[in-house]
Amino acid sequence: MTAAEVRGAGRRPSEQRGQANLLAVGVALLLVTGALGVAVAFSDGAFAGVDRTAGDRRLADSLAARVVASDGPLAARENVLRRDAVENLTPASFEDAFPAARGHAVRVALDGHTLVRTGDATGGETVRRIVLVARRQSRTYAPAFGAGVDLTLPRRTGALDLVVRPPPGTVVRTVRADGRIVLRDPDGLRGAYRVRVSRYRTTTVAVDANGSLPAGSVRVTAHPSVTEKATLAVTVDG
Amino acid sequence: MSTDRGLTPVVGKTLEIGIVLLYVALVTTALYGGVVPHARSDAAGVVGDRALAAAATSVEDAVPAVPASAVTVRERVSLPDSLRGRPYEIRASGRTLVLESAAPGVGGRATLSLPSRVRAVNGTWHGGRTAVVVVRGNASGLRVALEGGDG
Repeated sequence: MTAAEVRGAGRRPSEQRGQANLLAVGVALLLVTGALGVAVAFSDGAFAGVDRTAGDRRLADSLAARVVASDGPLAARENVLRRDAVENLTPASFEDAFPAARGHAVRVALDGHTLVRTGDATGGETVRRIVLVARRQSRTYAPAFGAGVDLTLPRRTGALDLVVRPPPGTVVRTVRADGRIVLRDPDGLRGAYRVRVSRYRTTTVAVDANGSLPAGSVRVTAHPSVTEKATLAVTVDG
Repeated sequence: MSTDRGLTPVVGKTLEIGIVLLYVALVTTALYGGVVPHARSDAAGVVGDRALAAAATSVEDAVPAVPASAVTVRERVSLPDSLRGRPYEIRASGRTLVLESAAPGVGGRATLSLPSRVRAVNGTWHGGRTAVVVVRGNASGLRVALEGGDG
């Protein structure tokens, strides 16, 4: 008996034992297949769930930018919308003003209140911007003017409407706004005038006359704008 | 029989190598035959959408927000070289950018939201070449051109 035969004798029954490794290989391949299947399923899920609305988001963003642009049809200046323009929006006028919205379902809302809706925009991508909404109003002041008695307007305004009707015998020669002469006539001012003043500072109106001016002889109408903060939401859904 | 027992590991390893090679070949065929091309097409579609959106944003951003008496803007636009390994082009058609590619599932249109003083948008960008957006004009009218640049 050789030494090998002696060693082999004890394990005689395992005739098939020779390729036991193949079992391990099979199990390993099975595990690899399982892992591969899971990975493929995950990648498929990632592609299925990917956000494919890049176009909608882009359009919502650019429409919102156009709405608040300073030369936009709804804007008084950059980021400031005109209340009257905003409230009178119709789907047709909106699409005329913003041709890019044609063919898309767009919803424009201010503080959650829908201003205009074209198409059936329910879900989709929404872009929000904080804006000011400006409302114009007119305030008329008719105080008595005299030497050293000026009128300081409580709100800033871009233009003043003046109606000068001095009592008989009194001649109004100049009107100053913030010390600058805005109206002057040595023969006397009378009638309605419009003067432009700076929107960036508080205006003080002074009237020079050769006599006293009772209340109502000079009526000053200012057009201040009142602004409120609001959230503009533009939604594009396909 | 004990004399050829020494062959056992050789046969075993050969069998293992054969089986693993077969398996790898099978899996490779399965992946490259269906899964990978599908994933690449999906990815190309998404990348195409994004590239088109980015291109449209670049064109819109190149137009000055405020009217000016003389406008000359040249801006480089960053675009992918190819989509799914295929060339593509972005073409201006009216106020719309159109993405076209030979790759299946890649394409789209993006409406440009431009101020009314923009009179016309023309030109084409090709993937892989430098893309430049050029805006010229004055306060009353602007022309936007998609041009290939010299780098």
